[in-house]
Amino acid sequence: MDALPVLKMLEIHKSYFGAKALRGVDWELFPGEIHALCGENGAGKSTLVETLAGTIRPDSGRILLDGRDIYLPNPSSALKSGIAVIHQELQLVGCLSVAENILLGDEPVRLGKLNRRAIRSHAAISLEMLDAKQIPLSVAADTLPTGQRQIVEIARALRRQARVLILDEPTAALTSGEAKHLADLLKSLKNKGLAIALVSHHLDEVLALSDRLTVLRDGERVGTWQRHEMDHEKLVQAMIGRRVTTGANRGGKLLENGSRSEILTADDISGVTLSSVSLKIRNGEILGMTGLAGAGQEEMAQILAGESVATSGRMTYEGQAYRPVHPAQAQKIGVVAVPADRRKRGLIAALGLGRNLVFQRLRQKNRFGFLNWPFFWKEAERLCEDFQIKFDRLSQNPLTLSGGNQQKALLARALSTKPKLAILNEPTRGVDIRTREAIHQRIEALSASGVAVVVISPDTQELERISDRVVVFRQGQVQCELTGDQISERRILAETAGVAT
Amino acid sequence: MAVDSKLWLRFAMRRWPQILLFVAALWLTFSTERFYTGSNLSSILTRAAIVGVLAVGQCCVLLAGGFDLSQGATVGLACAMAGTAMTKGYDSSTCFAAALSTGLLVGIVNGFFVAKMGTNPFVTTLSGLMVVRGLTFLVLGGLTLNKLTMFAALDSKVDVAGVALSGRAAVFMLATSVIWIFLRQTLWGQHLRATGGNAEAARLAGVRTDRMKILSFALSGLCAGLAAVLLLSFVKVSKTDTANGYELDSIASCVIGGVSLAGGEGSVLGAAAGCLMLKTIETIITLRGLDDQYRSLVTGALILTFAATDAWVGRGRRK
Repeated sequence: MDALPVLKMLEIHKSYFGAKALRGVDWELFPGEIHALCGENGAGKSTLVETLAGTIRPDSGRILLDGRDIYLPNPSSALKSGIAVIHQELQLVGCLSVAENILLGDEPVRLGKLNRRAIRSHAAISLEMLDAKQIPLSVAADTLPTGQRQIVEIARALRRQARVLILDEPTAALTSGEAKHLADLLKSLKNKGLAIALVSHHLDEVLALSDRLTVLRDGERVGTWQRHEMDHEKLVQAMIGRRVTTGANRGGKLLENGSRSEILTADDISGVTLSSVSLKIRNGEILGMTGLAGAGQEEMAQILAGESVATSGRMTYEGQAYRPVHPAQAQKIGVVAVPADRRKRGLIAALGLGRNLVFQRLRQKNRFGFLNWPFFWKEAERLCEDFQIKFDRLSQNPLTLSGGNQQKALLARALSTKPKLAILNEPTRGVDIRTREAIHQRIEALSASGVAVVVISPDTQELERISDRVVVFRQGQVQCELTGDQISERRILAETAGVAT
Repeated sequence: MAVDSKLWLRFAMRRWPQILLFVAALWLTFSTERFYTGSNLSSILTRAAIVGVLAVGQCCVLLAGGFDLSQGATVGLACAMAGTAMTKGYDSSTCFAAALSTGLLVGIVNGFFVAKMGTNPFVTTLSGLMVVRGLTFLVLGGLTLNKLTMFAALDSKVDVAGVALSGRAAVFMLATSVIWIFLRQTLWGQHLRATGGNAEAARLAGVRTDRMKILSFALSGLCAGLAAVLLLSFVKVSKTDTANGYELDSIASCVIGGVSLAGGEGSVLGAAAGCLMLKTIETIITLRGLDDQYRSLVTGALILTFAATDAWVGRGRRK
């Protein structure tokens, strides 16, 4: 690179409740380049991006813009510095028109009155610069398709004189046509001298677009490469690295025991993101389900647990037709799910830890609807001991626990119902390494006792560690099913991205 | 649960606005000469009974994450129905059933719209208020029913463990205890609270959240029916504007009693105590010889102070 870097990050550290998300990351971004940030989930990409967006303050480290130190305490300071982050969840005000959105926060005012004509003309100019004249100015932003909304947001960023454009998973929700259009747009913006950073899980897209690539792993920078120095193989290797596995991988342990009976079969299931998926779950096996966000594994898990209903298809559970329309129905016959979002969909803050722990057992153990609280308090204490949940007192708000303890509490709540099929959504998201191993051992013990376990996780290492079988979803369908020796981080990563190795 | 020596301290930390008010009320009580007489103290309980029963019902709805503005109007309709039943010559138990079932029905309709149709609780019960007032007008034909003496028995004193209590106060205490036990000791009570605390998490954990919402409104309606009985036992008149605005008093009682408007947090005991405090303050204002128009001003300012301190304490808690 001939020019000086427009943005430079030095020794950025950030930790959450003791878990280190970034450990001294250095990173440079030059004008006129598209720079890809790669890494697995939890590698630190999002934290780095949030730091630049001004939504997260690093614990230490410097951020330099044009060689000068800047401080980004909030999102508006980032915007003022010329750094615009386009999040995966677009940040448009849906009820305002396209033109109003582009000028939002920067509206032309004449004599104290909003100048509507100027808003339209400025917005028109902005869109024209992006070759997007086809986007109507006066319709409400939330009526546009995702691809066009994204362009509107980019237009807004450029209108605010952004010089650094950071896109977080920009094509996750786009059709292939929209994605191609976006790629062309990014290339033309790059040629105009904009510095563009791209965070993406789609490796082929990363390799097609970027000039340079930086790989993060476990909060550290593995390295930065020119595009021509990289290929799929090397990139995957850099992302996975050589890591210490804490427990022995299972590697299809079950196959030795011969095939077991099926507890659940799903035939031809379709839904919002799924199109005719079939799969079988056997007693006592650990089935991994994975894929990119929105590839269908999340919805499949919801359908299995009765949290949402398939638009078509059939399921059987223990030989009987199975079509739950409410989680209560699934739980009654032994299917229990643990949600991934512990705070929003898992724990109930108003109830306190103790009541949360026994919450799903209340229905099983009551006398004409009356609850025997002394029994349940004892039960809650037993669960805390059994799952090694560190807590202050049983009446405390469960959300004040650490992430790992929250996760253990949710697992305890679900598993104390003695399910026959447990569906665990991202059981180790954001938990420290020791808890993670404890949870993995718990899952193994569960399967050893004959319970069928489904683990939905984007974490390839986790899947390699605990699954007997891995089903990879891609674009709403089963891309492949891996068993035995086929289960490797590299293979899973390649299959989720749809690149054959 | 293990006996926790710090439990009281923790309670004091969490509820200090309420404790402060209680102390203030106590101080005012003793500094107001004429107040501290036995008859006055028991009459507070009696006077609080009607709004107190409403507050207990309101608390159920708030705990489940809802909001009930139709309570006052429901009391009005229940009075009209019971009164009409009496003028038609039915006995008092039939009139009692008429009042309760009217309240229950209004509550179930409110709950159905909120839970099944997904309408906002505020809008649902606001329009419910208007519709129910309109129905009251139709039932009464715009007239006033007088001499409704069928519940007069409740106006007399009963002897409970050596203390002379008015029938109304007894009903208030009974209703509070029954609902308190229901919410604390039963599966549905626990599920109801979970629905208000985090509806999505509760649903995923197997709670029929729709049914719990309907249940909470049904309880509120039932309480409104009971409040109508208590009201008739003492005013013995049913008018088109009976119990106008009572829902606001019941919400105020809940706020003072520490019931969260965001759902899930609070207790019916708090709501009942909040109502007692509200009535105590009102009584003190009257006894101190202040004009009646100050009553509204002082109570309003008091509630606002309360909400502000509560929000301030809550902000500290979130950090």
